[in-house]
Amino acid sequence: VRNALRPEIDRLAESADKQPDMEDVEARARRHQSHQRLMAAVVGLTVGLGAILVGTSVLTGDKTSGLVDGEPQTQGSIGSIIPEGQWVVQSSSDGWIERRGGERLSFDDLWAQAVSRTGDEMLALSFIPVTVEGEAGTTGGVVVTRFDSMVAMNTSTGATRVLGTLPPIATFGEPATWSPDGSHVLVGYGEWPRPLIEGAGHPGQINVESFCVISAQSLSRSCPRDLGPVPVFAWSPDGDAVTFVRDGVVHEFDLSSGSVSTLVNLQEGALAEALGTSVGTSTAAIGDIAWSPSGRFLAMSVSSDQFSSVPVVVDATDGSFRLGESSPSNQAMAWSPAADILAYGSGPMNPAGQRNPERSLYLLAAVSGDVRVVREEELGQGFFPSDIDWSPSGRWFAVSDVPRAHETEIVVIDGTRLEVASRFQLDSPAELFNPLVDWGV
Amino acid sequence: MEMRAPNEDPSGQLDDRSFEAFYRAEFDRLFKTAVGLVGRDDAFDLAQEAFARTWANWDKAMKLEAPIGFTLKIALNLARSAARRRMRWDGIAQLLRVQARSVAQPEDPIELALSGLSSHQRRALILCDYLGYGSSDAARIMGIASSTVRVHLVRARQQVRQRLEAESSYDAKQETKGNRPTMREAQR
Repeated sequence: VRNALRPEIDRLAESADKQPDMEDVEARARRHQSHQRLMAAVVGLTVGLGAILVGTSVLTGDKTSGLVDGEPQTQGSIGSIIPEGQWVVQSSSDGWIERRGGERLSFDDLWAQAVSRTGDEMLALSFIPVTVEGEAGTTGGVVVTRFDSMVAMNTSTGATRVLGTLPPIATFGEPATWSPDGSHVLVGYGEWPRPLIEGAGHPGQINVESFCVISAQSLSRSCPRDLGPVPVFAWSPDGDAVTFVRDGVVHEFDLSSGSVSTLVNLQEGALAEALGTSVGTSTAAIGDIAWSPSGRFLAMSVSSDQFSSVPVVVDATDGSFRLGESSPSNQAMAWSPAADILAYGSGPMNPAGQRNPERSLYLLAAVSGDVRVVREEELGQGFFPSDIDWSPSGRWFAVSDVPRAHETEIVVIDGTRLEVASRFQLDSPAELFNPLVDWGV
Repeated sequence: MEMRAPNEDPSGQLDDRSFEAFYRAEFDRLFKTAVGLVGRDDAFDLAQEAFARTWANWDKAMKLEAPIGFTLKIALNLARSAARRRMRWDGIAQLLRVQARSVAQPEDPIELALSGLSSHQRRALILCDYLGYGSSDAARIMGIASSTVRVHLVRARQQVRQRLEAESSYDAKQETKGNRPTMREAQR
């Protein structure tokens, strides 16, 4: 398929016989700009009316429509809207951190990852886009991005310190996360067959895929290369090991001894049977894993070649498990930092096997098995959950809609009442594709 | 034709000519990508719209090392929006028990195979196998995990291969009959 696709699409395009039409582009651009101006005017009018209403409520002593300190608001900058903590938002060209009530700290040429437990530092990857020749059998240059350095950025000053750099044959990979005690960093690691050098030949497909553990103080680095392709990994609850996925099996890599043990095998036992019924297991793959804050439950997003995906929560104490609502593709999921409650997005397939446009958000209490649902009416019609992240206290959680050309919306939900507390759109939505990196301390 | 930027900035003149040069240099590549994303019938419209929106934001895009990345991102978003609109309409049509759309199935085998993919699968396939991005880069562009991109990619390749093989097999059987069947008929 890979070799056939390019010439076939080129042939299709040439048969369409379309030529550049600059006048058409100009007319469309003008329409687009008019639309933008209209929307800006509508937003301005709405803000103005909101200010009048709030002012009126203050004057009349009506507190019910006023804004309560500590509660999310619905207008203004992100920092004035979030009820606690600090946001990290990443766009294609830059990113920023905004604290509640604080000023925005912007950063360029860094790819944000996670805020430390203390909130003092943020992990980020620096990257180099390199133009190389296409792979064999293809024509034209391609841009390959290499994450060359792992850095920690001071969230107050923006100053960075380098935690590690790699030579041109290797790259760091997402995600990068702090260990539970904040002393180490876990980050993806990949190697090409050949170095990635500007103007040179294509380096080939990554043939070593693993992870690195870096000491945040001594900067010593350990990158096990013989574990096989490891696309998914996470810290163990105590930070003494790395939980990783290889060929549909969840393993644990002990950092002190280097030994590997098996935690969960999707191909065996009752779990395999349950998955076979739910999503089919012929090529079951685990797209994401996360330990609950207590360390008792491991959540996995399991998908198969049957166009179905399901969150699975395994109780590490006895091996029992719960399956969430299945959906046609991997869904965002996140544990509350305060309790073993998993938030995840999901939606059923329609009978034709297509993705159903209606989505829902679920809260699964791992201990009791209770499930609560955030109704679609709360989120807004057509809202497709993309990222989910909890506030530091665990009272709120935020969900971002999939980035779109004109609108990228983030909704903050009260985790107790399951009601939308605020919703707002981010700047430059066309550039955003990771709108909710972290809701840090 | 006199070239003027649609978003003239009072603080300074935008480089209109650089946009036109950019447009003419990149049209072919983006149009072909659009063909892969939405098919021949809708590709020109999508590519033109993506370029128009790039031009409307040219003051930002021109500062990027590779403005085509900006345009590509818009094209991907537009393709996704189009897919979502189709899904909504299909869902409404299903409720009303009417024919969802009267749009004819593509006749070209590769176009037909691509049309059967989900939006995520199709974008992953075009980004990785047509444009040559690695899964990490595709993940960044699509805004999902690289492992998810790989899952979509594997499924997309598998599905396209199966459909092309089915088409090829059926074609061989039909050679003596002389009538070329549609892919949908071949899969029955």
